[in-house]
Amino acid sequence: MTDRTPHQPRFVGARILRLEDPRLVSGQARHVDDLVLPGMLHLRLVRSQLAHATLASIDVSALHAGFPDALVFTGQDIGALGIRANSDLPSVQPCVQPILARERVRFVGEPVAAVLTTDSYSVEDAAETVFVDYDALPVLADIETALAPGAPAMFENWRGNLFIEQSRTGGDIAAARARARHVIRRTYRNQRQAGVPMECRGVIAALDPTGRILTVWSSTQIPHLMRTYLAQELNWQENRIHVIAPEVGGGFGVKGHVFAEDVLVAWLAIRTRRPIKWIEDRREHLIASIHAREHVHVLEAYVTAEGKILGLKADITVDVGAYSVWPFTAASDPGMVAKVLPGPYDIAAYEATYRAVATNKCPIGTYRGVGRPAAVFSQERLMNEIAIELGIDPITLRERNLIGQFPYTNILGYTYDKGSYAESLVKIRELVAPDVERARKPEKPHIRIGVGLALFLEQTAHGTPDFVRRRSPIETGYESAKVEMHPDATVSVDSGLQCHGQGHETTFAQLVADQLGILPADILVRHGNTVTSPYSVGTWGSRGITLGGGAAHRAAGIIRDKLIAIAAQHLQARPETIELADRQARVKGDPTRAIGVETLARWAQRNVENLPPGMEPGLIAISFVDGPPDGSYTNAVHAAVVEIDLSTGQIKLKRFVVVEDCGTIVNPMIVDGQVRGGVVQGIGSALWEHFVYDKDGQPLTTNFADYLLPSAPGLPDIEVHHIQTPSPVTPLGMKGLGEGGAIGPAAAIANAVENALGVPVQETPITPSRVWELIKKRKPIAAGGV
Amino acid sequence: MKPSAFKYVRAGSVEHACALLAEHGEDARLLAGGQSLVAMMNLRLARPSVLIDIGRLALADIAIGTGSVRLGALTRHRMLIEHLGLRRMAPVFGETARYIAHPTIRNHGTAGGSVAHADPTAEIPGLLVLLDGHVDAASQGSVRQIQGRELFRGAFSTSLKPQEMISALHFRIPAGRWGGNFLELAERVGDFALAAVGAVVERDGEQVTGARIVLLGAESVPVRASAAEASLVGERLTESVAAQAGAAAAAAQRCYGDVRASAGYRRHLLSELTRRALLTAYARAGAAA
Ligand SMILES: Cc1cc2nc3c(=O)[nH]c(=O)nc-3n(C[C@H](O)[C@H](O)[C@H](O)COP(=O)(O)OP(=O)(O)OC[C@H]3O[C@@H](n4cnc5c(N)ncnc54)[C@H](O)[C@@H]3O)c2cc1C
Repeated sequence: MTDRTPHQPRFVGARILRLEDPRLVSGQARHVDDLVLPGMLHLRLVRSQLAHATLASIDVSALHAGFPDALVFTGQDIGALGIRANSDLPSVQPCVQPILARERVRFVGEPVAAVLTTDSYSVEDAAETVFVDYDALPVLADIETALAPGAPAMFENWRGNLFIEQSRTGGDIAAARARARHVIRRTYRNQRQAGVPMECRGVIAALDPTGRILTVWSSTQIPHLMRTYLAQELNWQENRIHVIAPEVGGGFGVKGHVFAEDVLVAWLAIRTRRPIKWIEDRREHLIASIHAREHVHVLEAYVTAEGKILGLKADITVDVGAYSVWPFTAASDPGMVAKVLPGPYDIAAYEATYRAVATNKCPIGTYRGVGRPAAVFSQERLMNEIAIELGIDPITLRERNLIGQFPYTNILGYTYDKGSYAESLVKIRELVAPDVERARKPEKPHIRIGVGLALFLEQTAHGTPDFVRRRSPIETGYESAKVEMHPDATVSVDSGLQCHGQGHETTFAQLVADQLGILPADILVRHGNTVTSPYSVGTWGSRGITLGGGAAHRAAGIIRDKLIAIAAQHLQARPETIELADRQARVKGDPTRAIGVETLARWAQRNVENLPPGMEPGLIAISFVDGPPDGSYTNAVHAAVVEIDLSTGQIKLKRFVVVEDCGTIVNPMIVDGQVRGGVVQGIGSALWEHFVYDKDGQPLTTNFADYLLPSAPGLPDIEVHHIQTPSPVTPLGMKGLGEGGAIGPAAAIANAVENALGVPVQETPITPSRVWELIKKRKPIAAGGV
Repeated sequence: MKPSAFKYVRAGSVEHACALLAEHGEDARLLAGGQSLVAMMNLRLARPSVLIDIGRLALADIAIGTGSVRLGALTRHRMLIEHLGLRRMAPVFGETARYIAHPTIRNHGTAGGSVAHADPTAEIPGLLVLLDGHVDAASQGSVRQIQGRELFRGAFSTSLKPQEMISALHFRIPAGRWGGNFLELAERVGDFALAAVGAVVERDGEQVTGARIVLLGAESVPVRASAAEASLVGERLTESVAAQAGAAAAAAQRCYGDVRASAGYRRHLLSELTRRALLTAYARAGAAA
């Protein structure tokens, strides 16, 4: 009932400026590092310098001599506390990451000892004096070494080095193979990356003076999950832990985990009875927060002469590093690929085996797109290669395999709501037609132009069943909001989400303003605080607007109904005839019969004698919205135009075009911003970002001179076009879109490079050096459209 | 990412800076634009106990004479692009400086700091070697000249003594008809080069009367392609002559490989960039009055 669109939405769909921006761009925002508490101690971690070793001894005598006031704690002090992130799927080998390493270290950067002093400078000097003696162990630096017969096991009681190996199947793959005219088999690789939000991690924990309440300020995307985990691990009552995520300077999924440092800082605050502050530096962030990607996919497509894919077989291996992360576990990336590979295509038989391999590297966690950038890279590269092998135009090949009717239940049983897959292809074909033309007739002999595209789906706003199937600690997928109208008719919205760039403060205000007939400026959206908001699993998975926004919309709807009931009595009209707009409740079509929302709000809380008989006072409502069981499927197509210098390998991205469909758009400027930001990260995956380890597991790209992020001078303007196909299964037809931008670029750019050079691209990043290797493989081939 | 403790002194003059260097010896470091040193201190790759700030000394003058250019040690990278005299007399300075980092860094970074820092692919050291330059190395009571070719010892290593400070950089530019060109390739705009080449060509009519080629990315220091240079003198610089010179210049180099590029790719780039730089420099020399 409350899901209906209010009459003539005024703000949903409007291009209004972000309400949170003034404080963010004027330096008034306050992050964890801005918080200073009396008596605070600063934490510096001594981190492992070896990738794999037993800890022989930790010598703190120089520390005590040089810094008599410093405190130091090691794994012996903290004991068995850890990060336990194990799903109970049958093949899972469980593990625990100790909060401070005990007998053994498993990656460079793993916390070994905690040093505390009274300022952030001296603590770095002090930590340098802790001497750790290691006995080196053989290093499992890559998938091959870790899976080699006889390789040492990463954890006690493990057999081999797999966190998990599972498969997912649907349809008759043998029959598909038997009927196929072509079997096309390819291997694709995506590199290891770091997540790199602008603000690194940071945690402060402090007991209140009574010692009963532990408050944790953390730069996290998941305050409630952190509270639950801390309570469980520290054996505290959950009502006595408050987690507050103040301003968070970006997350991208990196901060959607509970880390060893979070538990450590809380434990130290309890143990020392002093506020503890830990601010991560960039080097620590790059080597020891979480990494992303590092996939190898072997795909085999069974295809008819006309290019129809009868079946797809996939073998998916991800190098997930040393530990399983909470709550998404080591299975997150490979499991996601196995789930989404069929994509927007109608494939009748599918078989995927996926595995997560343990190595002596930083653990892999969730980073914008989670598995899907790699899945789409493989899927969309494969579509191009099939097209080229069969001599079919790549768009036509996609069209021949596209899902036609909605809702559609795919081979794994996932039901897709409505999308615009075919329309988006038509639109992109038009948009890049001039570039395709230019690519056909290069103007300079040593310059080649290429056009490539990637069509994909982004499952968003998935509901609880999707998480139950994963059997990982995430467990659930709903979102919540509490809406309260105050006596002066201003409104507070408390969301369980945490906003770190998504613009919730604006879009939720737009949704609520329309429900209550007030202005976005009348609404204050608060978030990231377990004290004020109902339980929630936090901001990730492209769920914010659909579920969190949906919950705010519904909770506001409850208040709206109450305001209308009060107004109906006063105006002597039936509730259905009353609308809320312009801060008034009025009878539709009769503007003379109206009463101010402010009067209604005051009556509901201050002059309750005016309420209809039997109505409870108060204007507060809470709503919980779970996602559709299989989520809502946003679709997009990305197109890239590249220019390559055949004599140097230099690659320039000349144009990047997005056509996307996230259903009902609440604020077009915010959608464009989310898409562009994601695309830039995807371009980073395609062209530059690569976290490199050597054979000893030593990280080689530990600062921004070596870890190359995309930067503005190397980027084209990113053109964003929209199609709006409202979802029939979500509030207001909204679909998520937070991650999509990052999902398509690697595939689109690789396809463009293939188009330019006539050589397949099997690996990212596509650096000048790699382009040069591709150029050396060139042989004249027929150009194949886009 | 906090530097270890240090003392900060601001030098009032070159003499003062040299006196401070003499007093503190190897513990001291000069601070110019801070664009390399501060980052190294934060990473604790450099741990000076005394920081002598020379950033405000009046050492940013640019003087253009016949056949020479003199830069005060504190000339900011940006001035190499914007200085009108340089733009007219030796545009290769600006062309080279444009490859250094980004505008904010070019506003701070200095020619003296860049040369003293001696990054293997830094542009200004390349220019110094290309233009047969030298630096004035001041110490308490004396100044000595160090030729560019002798200055660079290896990556981040120079023949400057701990008590010496660069006060000026001198470059030799041809007196007659000449053209220059500097080309580089990096992954992103503003990155240190994978490979870069500078070329200067003097000509008389169609004939090359002098050529200089510097290669960055071949060794840990900028190197001149002397044999290729010599082979060009007396030639008409055609496409094929340029290509041969490029190939010869690159073939003579060992080149290094790392995570960014293989040795083979670097060698190829040096060859191609040399070819292109020579052709452009030759054409510019032809157009010069
Ligand atoms: C993001 C980024 C990108 C960059 N990209 C490039 C690039 O592409 N190419 C490039 O060439 N550089 C690049 N740089 C470095 C930049 O050019 C620096 O400015 C330069 O290398 C050092 O100059 P500085 O004045 O900042 O010196 P500082 O950082 O102040 O000092 C550097 C070193 O030189 C010493 N020193 C400084 N002045 C003198 C002097 N007069 N006599 C003796 N010793 C001295 C210092 O003691 C110190 O050891 C980049 C820097 C950054 C931050």
